[in-house]
Amino acid sequence: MSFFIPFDFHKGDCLDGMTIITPIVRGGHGDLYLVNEAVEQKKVLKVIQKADNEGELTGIEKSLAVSSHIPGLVPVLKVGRLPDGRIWCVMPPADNLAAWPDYEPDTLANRIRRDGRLSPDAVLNIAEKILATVRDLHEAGLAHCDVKPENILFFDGEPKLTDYSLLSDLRERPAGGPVGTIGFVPPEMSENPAYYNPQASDLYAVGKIVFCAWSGTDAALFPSVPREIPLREIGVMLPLYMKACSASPNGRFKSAEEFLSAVADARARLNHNLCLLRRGRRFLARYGWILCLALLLALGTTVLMNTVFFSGGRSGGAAGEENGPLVVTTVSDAADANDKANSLRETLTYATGRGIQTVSFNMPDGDTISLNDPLLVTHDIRFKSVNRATGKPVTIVLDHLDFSEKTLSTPEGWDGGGAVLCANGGNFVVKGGRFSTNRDYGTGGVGGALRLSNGTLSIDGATFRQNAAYSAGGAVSVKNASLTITGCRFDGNYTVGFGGAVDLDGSSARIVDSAFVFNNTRSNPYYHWMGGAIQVNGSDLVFEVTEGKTITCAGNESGFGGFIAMRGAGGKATAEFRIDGSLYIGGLKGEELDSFCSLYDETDNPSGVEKNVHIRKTGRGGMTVNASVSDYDERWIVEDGVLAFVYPGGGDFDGEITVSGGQLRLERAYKFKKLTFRLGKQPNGTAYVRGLSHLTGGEFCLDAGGAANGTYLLAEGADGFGGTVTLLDASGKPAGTLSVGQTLNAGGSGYTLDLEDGLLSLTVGPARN
Amino acid sequence: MYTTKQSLLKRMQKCDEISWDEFYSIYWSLVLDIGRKLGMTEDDCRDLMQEIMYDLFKGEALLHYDAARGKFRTFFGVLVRHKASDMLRDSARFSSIPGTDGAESGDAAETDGALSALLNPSGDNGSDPFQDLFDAEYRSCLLSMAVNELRNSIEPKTYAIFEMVVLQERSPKEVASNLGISRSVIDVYCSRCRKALRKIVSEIRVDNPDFNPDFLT
Repeated sequence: MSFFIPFDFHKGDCLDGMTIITPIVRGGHGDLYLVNEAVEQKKVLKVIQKADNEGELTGIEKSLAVSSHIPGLVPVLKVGRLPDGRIWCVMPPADNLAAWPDYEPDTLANRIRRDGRLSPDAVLNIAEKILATVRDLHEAGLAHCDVKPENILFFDGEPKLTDYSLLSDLRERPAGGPVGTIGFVPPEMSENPAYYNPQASDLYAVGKIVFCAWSGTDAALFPSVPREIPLREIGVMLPLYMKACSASPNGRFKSAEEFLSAVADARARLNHNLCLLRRGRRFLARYGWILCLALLLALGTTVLMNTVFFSGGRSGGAAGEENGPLVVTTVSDAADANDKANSLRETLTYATGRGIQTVSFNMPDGDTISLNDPLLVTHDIRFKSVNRATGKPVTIVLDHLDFSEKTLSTPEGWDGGGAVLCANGGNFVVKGGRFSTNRDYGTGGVGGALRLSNGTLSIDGATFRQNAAYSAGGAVSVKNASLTITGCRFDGNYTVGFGGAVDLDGSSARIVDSAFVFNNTRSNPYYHWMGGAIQVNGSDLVFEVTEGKTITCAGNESGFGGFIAMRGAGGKATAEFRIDGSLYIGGLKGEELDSFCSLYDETDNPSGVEKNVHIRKTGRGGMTVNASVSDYDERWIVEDGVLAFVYPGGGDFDGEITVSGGQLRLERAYKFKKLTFRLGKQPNGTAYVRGLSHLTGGEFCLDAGGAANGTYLLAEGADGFGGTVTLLDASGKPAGTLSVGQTLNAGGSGYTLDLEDGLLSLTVGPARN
Repeated sequence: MYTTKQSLLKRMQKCDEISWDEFYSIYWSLVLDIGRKLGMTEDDCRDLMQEIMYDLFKGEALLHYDAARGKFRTFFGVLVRHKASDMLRDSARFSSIPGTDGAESGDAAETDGALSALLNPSGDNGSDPFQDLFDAEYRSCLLSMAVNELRNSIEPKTYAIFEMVVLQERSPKEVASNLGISRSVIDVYCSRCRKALRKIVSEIRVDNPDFNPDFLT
């Protein structure tokens, strides 16, 4: 509710040689008047509210220092002080949206109010000019800190920035916390002054301006886009302002220059779209009749072909049948290993040359065959899983073989893949060797190098570098199989689908002392899928680091789940990080969500889709996840050792964690969804969680069912903790809530929550009266 | 957070300023929409909201509200009905004065029709047109609140995609191709939003069991 307060000056009043023509508007920091400085020399006079005097004066002084070489700033022409101490300043008048003698300044806010949404081209023009001004300001060591539609004025149609009341040095930290206008300040800065960054704030605000001007809606409605806006426009504009206004600070533009470059890209896409549209229209106008004719012809031909084939005229198809399975008997006949290999090579070369695709072995002397020549392995050959002589499974050993640049193109819907080796059934062992740049480009391609269904695959000491598969598992994919990977390195493998390096489909896997670096699912800019390094699809994974080992996994990247994707697929998916040594997972890049792990179930079951999908941290060692953005919906159980989630640029851990042992660290996380501590029978001095003071929101529970009398240390660094904890009884049901300093009696015991020197503790003892 | 939360009403009864703002922001569009449907002008709609807020602000109306005797929704519906009746009655009186703008036009007849619907809760066939209108607008208001809550609580890009595909019923295929993302990503975004929205709706349903948005079923 506002009250009318009369303006201080009226038409005809004089001030320092200027005559008031009319009051314009009453703003938050002062009143604006249109004045005549000389005959028909119109100017705008701003009289500052007394409370804002000093801030405005400082801002004006700073703007005067730089406005001569920053053309995008509205210059201050004159400054003075009223007898009562208030500051006034004079600026040139913006374009007039009304007809003289009325005056309505041409601000972006007034344009939107009057005309509704602006065209994408106009918005990009404005964004370009304002960003150039913001860039110049930042280069001069200043930030505007109040970029909003009301502060963008048009002079001869060119947008300029005004209002210097909040102009500040980049290194300055306002005493009263973040400044700016609600809706144009990044959320983390308005929630927590510790994250205040004036430069980032300006860029975020320009993103909101792009949104408001283009959608014609209020910043409070971000990111809603009106229904009437066509998708081809949304496709150009949405990525631009979404990146600028990403919820995660790390996801935003880092500089005005980067933002400007994205605006230029958007303009290019916009022009390209328009060009295509015009070309399409021209083409249809000229050649539409030819298209119609061609369609009719194609339709007629299809009908004719169907008539011929379905009337019994089909024949052939047996051309390949003469190349039946080849029984390799020469291996058992050879006297030594070299002969075996040579004989096998000749046989397989012969088989490949004849187009034979299945090789079965008949080896009375054993069920293991060692291949020590890469020529012996080709995706053209499907190895038979059973020794025909013994009936036992055959174990094929790829012994220190190097494979590179093998390619394949598995069509959509085929159960294939594996440019090096594709097998259905059988036991395979890979000992050492290097697999590099092997690729399956086909849309059905899974496992760029190795693909196995229904068997066992053990990989020991091998290196997989820059292998790729279109659909899943850039390097290795297994389906309904058992996989063991020990001492391997996966480097730069990628897919446009799921699991940049390894894809587990209905399988169980154990990955031991192996490193994953720079694997990704982002090779194609149009698909941002899941699990930068590993996909666990209806599978069980144990990721193990043995005692004394340190494994670093860095730079893995995906749209969802920078490191791992867990898909329940209607069943269950579990992962256990059994860390007895040390595991560091860093440099993750989830696009905007799920730095570390993406949980997803296609069944979309309303009763809780991922209830069978969880991750456990076991082992006495430490695991650190250095996350880039945020993590959602992950369900962790910490049983032993240390699990640390660190968000260097801030982020949400918006998932559920149950800590039944060991220690949890959440560094620079904004919030969590649910934290449950299971108190053991032995009170001890271990801090269960560190970094609690940063956290807000969420449900904080203590499962005290098994607790004994004594003091449990719950958290370290919890100075700012002002929330409550919910005490759960032995059946897991809430027994009540506790604030710091309170005692709760439940089940014959008294529970007291204390906070001292940042240590949050719970003392369990006899019930108190 | 939601209108019928007893805690909000209690805070309002204590004249808590923030609670009033919360209440105002929630009910503003509901009252405006009802006014419009009753054929009132924009100015009249705003006056109607002012009248209702004034009554509540004075504390008299809320003092008469007893949670034990019925839902706040019913209480509020009665209040809107009475206020709108008063305003339309005054408007009808004004329109019928010879020489005023509405006297010769059809305004008076239109106002009479709306007034009749308001003043005759039983209707011709035992129905209550105003109550039907109020219930429909109330559900729409609840849905807006739920969606607003979702918008404020979820990653912006996730919400934007959900809005386009589910709320605006645009083709997922076209959204995917125009935004350069895969159908699978769209499914993930929509799945997340549905899940979050279900949670919000389940909170609303505590006080409004008949609230069940179509796109969640």
